[in-house]
Amino acid sequence: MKEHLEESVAISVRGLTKRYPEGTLANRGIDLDVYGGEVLSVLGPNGAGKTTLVKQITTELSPTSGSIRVMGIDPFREPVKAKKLMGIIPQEATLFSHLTVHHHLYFFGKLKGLSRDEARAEADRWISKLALDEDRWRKIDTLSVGTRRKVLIGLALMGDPPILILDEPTTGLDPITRRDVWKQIQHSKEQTKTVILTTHYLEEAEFLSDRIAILLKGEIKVHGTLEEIYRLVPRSYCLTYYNEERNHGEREKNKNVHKESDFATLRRIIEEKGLEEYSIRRISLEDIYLELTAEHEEEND
Amino acid sequence: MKRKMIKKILLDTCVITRIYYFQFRDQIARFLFFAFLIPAGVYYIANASTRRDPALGLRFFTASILLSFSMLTIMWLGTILVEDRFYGRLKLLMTTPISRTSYVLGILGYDYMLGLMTSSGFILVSYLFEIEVQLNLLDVIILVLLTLSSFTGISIIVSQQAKNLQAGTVLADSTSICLIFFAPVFYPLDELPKAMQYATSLLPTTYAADGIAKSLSGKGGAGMDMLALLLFSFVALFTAIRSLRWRDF
Repeated sequence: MKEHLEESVAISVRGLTKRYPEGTLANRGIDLDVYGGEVLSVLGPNGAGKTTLVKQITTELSPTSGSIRVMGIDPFREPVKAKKLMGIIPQEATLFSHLTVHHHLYFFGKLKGLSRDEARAEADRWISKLALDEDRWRKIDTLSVGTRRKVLIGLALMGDPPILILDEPTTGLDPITRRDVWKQIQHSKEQTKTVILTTHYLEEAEFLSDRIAILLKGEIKVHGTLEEIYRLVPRSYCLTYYNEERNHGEREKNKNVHKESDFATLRRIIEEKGLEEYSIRRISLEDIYLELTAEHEEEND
Repeated sequence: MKRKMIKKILLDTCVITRIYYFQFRDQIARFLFFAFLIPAGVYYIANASTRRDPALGLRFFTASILLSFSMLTIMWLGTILVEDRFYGRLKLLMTTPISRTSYVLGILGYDYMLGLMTSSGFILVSYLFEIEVQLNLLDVIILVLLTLSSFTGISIIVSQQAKNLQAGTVLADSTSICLIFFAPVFYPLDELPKAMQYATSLLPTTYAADGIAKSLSGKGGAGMDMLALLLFSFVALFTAIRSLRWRDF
C-alpha cells in the first residue's frame, strides 16, 4: 500500500499561473508533482507566491491559467469531492471563539461527512493525541495561541484525509509547541499521508521534508530532495576552527572556516594542521536558501 | 447520487445552524436586547406619540416585530457574518467539504430559529402591548419565514459587499434601519411623498408589514404579500449564494 502511494502522484500542478485583479503576477507557470506519502515543503521569502500556490490547490483561489489535480480530481470542477481528500490549515483562518475544543472537532468532523458517533470518537481521539484533554470543554477565546493552533491541526486531521495542506502551521509558536506540531506531521507521514507544508522556518523544512521546493517571485527555482539541493552547492561541508596567533606580544584568537565538497578533504586538513578543537557541519538549508535568494536578487538587479 | 448530495447538503446545513446556535446561547443578553427590549421601547414611543390610538396599536405591534427581525437578522447576524469573513472563520468553513448553498441554508436555519422565537415571544406577551391578537397561525408562520428569508439573503449580501470590518458593520446597521424606517411599517403608505411610495414597493418590509398585520388581526387576504415576499426571498437568497465568496478571484 505504502509503495503504491509513493509511486502515485497525489497532487499534480501544471502551468499554474495566477495574476491578481490588480495586476500582480503571483505564480508564473508552476509545474509541480507531489507524490503520495511524502512531505513537500514550499519555501520562499514573503511575497514569493507560496500561499497563492497553496490557496489554489485548496480551491480558495481561482487560477488564471493552468491545471491542478488532487488524486485525479479537478478541484475547481468538484470542489467538495477534492476538499474531502484534504485536511487544510489556511494561513488566515481563526476558530469560532464561542465554541469549545470538543465542539470544534465534533462539528468539523460532521462537516467532513462523519456520522455522529464517528465524529465523537474522532474528536476524542484527536483531543487525546494532541494532548488537549484539559482544554476539551474550554472555549477558544480562553486558550493560548499554541493550543488554538493545535485545535486547527486537529480540524485538519479529522476524518483521516490522505492529504494535508498546512500553510505556515507553526508561525508564532514557542519551540516546545512547534516540536509538538512537528511530531504530528511526522506521525502523519508515517501513516503515508501526503503533506504540503509552507514555512519560513528552514530547520522545520529540513527536519520534516522529503522534498523541498523553493519559490522565488512566483517561480519554482529549486526543487528536489535535501540531498539534491545540497548537491547544488559545490562546497557543502564546512570546517570551523580557531587558532591562536601572537600579535605585538598579545594572544589573538582567529576564526578559520574551510568549505569543501567532501568530508575526506576536511579530515585531511584536520590531520595536516593537527587540530584538536574544531567543528564540522554540513552546510544547512538556510545557507543554501540565503545563497539562492541572494543570487536571484543579483540576477534581478 | 442526487439523493446523497441532498442528504449531505441537509446534514451540513444542520451543522452550520448548530454552530451559530452556540453563538446565540453565548449571547442571550444581546439577543433579548435586540429582539425585545429595543423594539418594545420603539413601540411604546410610537404608541405614546399617537395618543394610544387603538386603530394604530396593531400597526405598531407588527412594526416592532419587524424591527426586531431586522435588528436580529441584518444588524446582529450581518455583523457576525462580516466578522466571520474578516476574522477568517468563513475561511475555515470554506476549506471544509461543504457547498456555499449549505452555508447559506445553515444561516437561514439559524435565523428561522431566532425569528420564530421572537415572533412567538411577541405574540405570547401581546397583552403587555394592550393588543388583541386574532391569530391566523399558518399565514403568520409563512409570512414570518418569508420575511426572514429575504432578510437573511440581504444580510449575507451586505456581509459580502463590505470592504472592511468597520464598513461592514456600518452597512449592516444602516441597511437594517433603512428597511424599517423608509418603508410603510410604522406609518401608512400615503404619509410618504409620491416618489417614495413607488420606491417602497421595492422593499420587502412593505409587504411584510401589510401581510403580518392582516394575519394578526384575523383578516385574510395576505396572499399578494406572501407572493411578493416569496419573490423577494428567492431573489435575495439566490443573490446571496451567488455573491458569497466561496473562492477568491
